[in-house]
Amino acid sequence: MPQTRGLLDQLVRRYWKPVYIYIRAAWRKPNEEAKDLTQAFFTHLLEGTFFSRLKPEKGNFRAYLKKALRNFLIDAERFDKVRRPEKPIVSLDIAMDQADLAPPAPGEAPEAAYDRAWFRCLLDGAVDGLWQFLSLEGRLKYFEVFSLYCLHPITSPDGFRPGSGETATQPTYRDVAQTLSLTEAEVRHYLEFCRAHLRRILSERIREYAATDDEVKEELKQIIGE
Amino acid sequence: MSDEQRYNRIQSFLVRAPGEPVPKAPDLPPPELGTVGHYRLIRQVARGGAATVFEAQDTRHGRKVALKVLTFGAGNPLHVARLQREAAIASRLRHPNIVGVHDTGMVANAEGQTVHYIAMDFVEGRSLAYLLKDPLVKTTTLLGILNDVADAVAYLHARGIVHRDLKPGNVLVDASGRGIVADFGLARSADRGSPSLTGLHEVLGTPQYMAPEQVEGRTKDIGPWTDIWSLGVMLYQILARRLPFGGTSVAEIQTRILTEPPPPPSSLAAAVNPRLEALCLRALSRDPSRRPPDASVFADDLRRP
Repeated sequence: MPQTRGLLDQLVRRYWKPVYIYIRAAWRKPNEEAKDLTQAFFTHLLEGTFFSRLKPEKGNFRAYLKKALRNFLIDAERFDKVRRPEKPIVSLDIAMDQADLAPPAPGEAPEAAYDRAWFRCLLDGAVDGLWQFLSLEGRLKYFEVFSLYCLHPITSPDGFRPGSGETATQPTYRDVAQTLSLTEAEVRHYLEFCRAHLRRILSERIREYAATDDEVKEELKQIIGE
Repeated sequence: MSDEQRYNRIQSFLVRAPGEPVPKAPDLPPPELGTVGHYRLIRQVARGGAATVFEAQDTRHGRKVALKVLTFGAGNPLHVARLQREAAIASRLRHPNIVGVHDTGMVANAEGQTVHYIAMDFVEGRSLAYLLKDPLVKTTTLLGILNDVADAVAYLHARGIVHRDLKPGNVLVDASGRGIVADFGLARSADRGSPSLTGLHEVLGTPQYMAPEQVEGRTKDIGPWTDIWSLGVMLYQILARRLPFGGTSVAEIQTRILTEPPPPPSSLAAAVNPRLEALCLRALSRDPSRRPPDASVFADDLRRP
């Protein structure tokens, strides 16, 4: 469980999107109103005693935050008192301004939309962490390989994109090797390295908010099924 | 590729046979303030990925320098080669808008480890990144700085060198307002004979200034036009006071660079000069052949009344 104010601020910056998505899905709020409510929720949490009342025995932080959000929204509706805070969290404003805020998928339950957005934030954060780690290590070539394999389609000279479209196929090691003028063995090695570190970084990100090793394992299981 | 596909791909990538991490070279802790050879360290001014930069006094020549010391992965010969290449490239450059290199070398520290360093001009001032965040700094001032940068990059291009890591953090602005390009950690001669150290990178940063050909890893397609893209991003920031490709993650930013045209700066800010906007959007053409071919053309267009 996060215990310091600095870490709490960091978690807010990292996991505001699931809150925003939940508000849009549960309350059918338009974009700007959902943003204001997201601001109001986190300001309420950071100014109040929510975080000081966090206890490992209360269970999963992700679920606990969701429950707090649900209660907050019920109160907000009851008292019709939610306004954009007078002193909004500046970093949150900037993040919301820059983010690609697509509405939740139609028909998706708010709870599921929240969890899905949470895991996506985790994956995005882990990929960012991988980028930073490989930058520090002087191995941005590794990120290029990972990026082509996982993040972006490859365009062949005849315009064929192995990784695009509804029936997209995963680029092969050979696709990546040809694009980057590497051998397939090099691509395999680079990807193994990236995979090991991406898993490590993902676990570290979860550990920032998880109370126990079991909870880390459980979160990992939910994301990658093992 | 949709978001759904991307996340699915990352998730299945994580599931597959996990490989063991490859051990990395031992790190060398940044030197305590003291001396490195004949340089007396005064204070740390920046810490990048692989190196730390100190304000230092050159006791032999009685001048102040910026001393860049390789710290991270110092035992890695590729890092050393990169630093030496940076020194080799930078030391043959003489231009008022490019940071000058005085000396490069290696010395043993107290623990007997070899410390590699480059001594450069110490520029008293701020970075362009700092100035861009200040709403009180006038657009004309920022354009003047970009003009200096474009001149410096034109000088590089004329010598067959591509910087490849142009961004406001790598542009120093001295007390007189002169823009000075620093950090040749990624620079590479445009000729194909130069040894490839691709992938070596020292500054922890974002991909905001990367051209599409860099994002897609098409290293063979990198050329002067790649620097033009970065100049275009900086011009965009000056005109619109925001980045053309925002996002909250590396993947999101990269996707936008590859797929979305930037909104015209005039749609985000008032009184944008149409000629500069046209230059900016041309520099941000996804097709490199549509960009100004090198920085001298970009600089000329920037100056045109």
